[in-house]
Amino acid sequence: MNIDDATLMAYLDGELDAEGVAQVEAAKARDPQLAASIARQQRQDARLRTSHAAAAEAPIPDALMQLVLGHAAPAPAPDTAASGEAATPGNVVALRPRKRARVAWSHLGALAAGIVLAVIALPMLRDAQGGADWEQGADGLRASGALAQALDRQLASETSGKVRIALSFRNQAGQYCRTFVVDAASTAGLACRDGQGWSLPVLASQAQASSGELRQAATPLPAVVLDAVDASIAGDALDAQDEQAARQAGWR
Amino acid sequence: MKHDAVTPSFRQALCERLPKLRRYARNLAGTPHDADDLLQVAAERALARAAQWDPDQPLDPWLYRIVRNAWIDEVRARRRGQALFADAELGEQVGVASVESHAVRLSVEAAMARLPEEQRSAIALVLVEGLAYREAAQALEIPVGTLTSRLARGREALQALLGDESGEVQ
Repeated sequence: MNIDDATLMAYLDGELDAEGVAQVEAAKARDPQLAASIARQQRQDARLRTSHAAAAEAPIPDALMQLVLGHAAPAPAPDTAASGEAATPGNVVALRPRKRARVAWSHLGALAAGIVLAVIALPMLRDAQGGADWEQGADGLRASGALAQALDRQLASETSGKVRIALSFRNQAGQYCRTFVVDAASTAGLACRDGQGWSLPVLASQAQASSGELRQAATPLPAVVLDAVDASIAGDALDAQDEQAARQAGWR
Repeated sequence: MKHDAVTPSFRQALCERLPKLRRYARNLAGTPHDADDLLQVAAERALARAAQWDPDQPLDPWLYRIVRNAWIDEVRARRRGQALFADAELGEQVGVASVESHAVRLSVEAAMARLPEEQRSAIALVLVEGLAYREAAQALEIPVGTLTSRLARGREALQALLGDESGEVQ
């Protein structure tokens, strides 16, 4: 008998009863093409699961655990309590400002803490409007121009100009570090403050959007940058207040 | 009254599910940071609405639904505010000198990020989170038939985006 696509998918997802499974497997045994197609889909499904396996392993931020377990004294949002799941279209609840601990997200793998990742695919791009955003220093890349300014002045909550600061934290060496995205250059990286300014232990380039598909939206941080954060962060990310204080103190 | 529903066992159950809820949040929000923010909002809502959960019903679909609705509200809020929103697109990675599994993970994530949210949610809930069709349909508030057609289209699109590069001999 023929196995239709819906049945095939239900088979792959374990939604068939024993009889249905037996039918598919009989058909599979008779039809090598069907067997190959099932195997291909199973490989893809497995790949999907593998790629997401690590995502559920990272620890949950402590503050959130305390909230859920009721150890903290939470102030539940009064506006949402009564409205129910069927919120009216006008009932918009914005995400709260970023102030919780940011904990390791990525699977750290072989990344040893504190190791500085290699510089990746440094784009030849130079900013058309105002000089280079980074330069080669004696001990690696350093921020300059608009990027250095943004790192000095811009808070993570602000979006101004072409640089977006995503996250600020202290690394295990006690330096202030900040992740950033330079949208114009499709480039993102990690900057850490030392005596001379901002060094760039990680700089990653993202592929330019294919022609006719200009990317208007902000470029998200690539995993390689996030991995570097996870490997070097000491404690929690700075909240808005800490960040302001750090800026005030010149990131020292 | 709503506080009566937040029993220690409810708290415990929610707690145990946070890692998986965050994984789904990551599939929706695109970046780990946004996913953590989303998870926080969803957890607060789950606690605030605990009384609305019917203990005879499975908890997981209810929680995934809260995550998704929180995300939809957030997207709406951001669009309204003209704030930056990347539609969860990860972009392509180039020149990442890294281990193979890393590269595979990125490309799967990038492919997932390209799917329309409906298909991405169907794939994430059934294939990644392991919900039954019926549960995933509950979470998305759609009929099972709609779920399976989104799932089928999503799978097809992923296959087209990823090819068959599992490294295994076909």
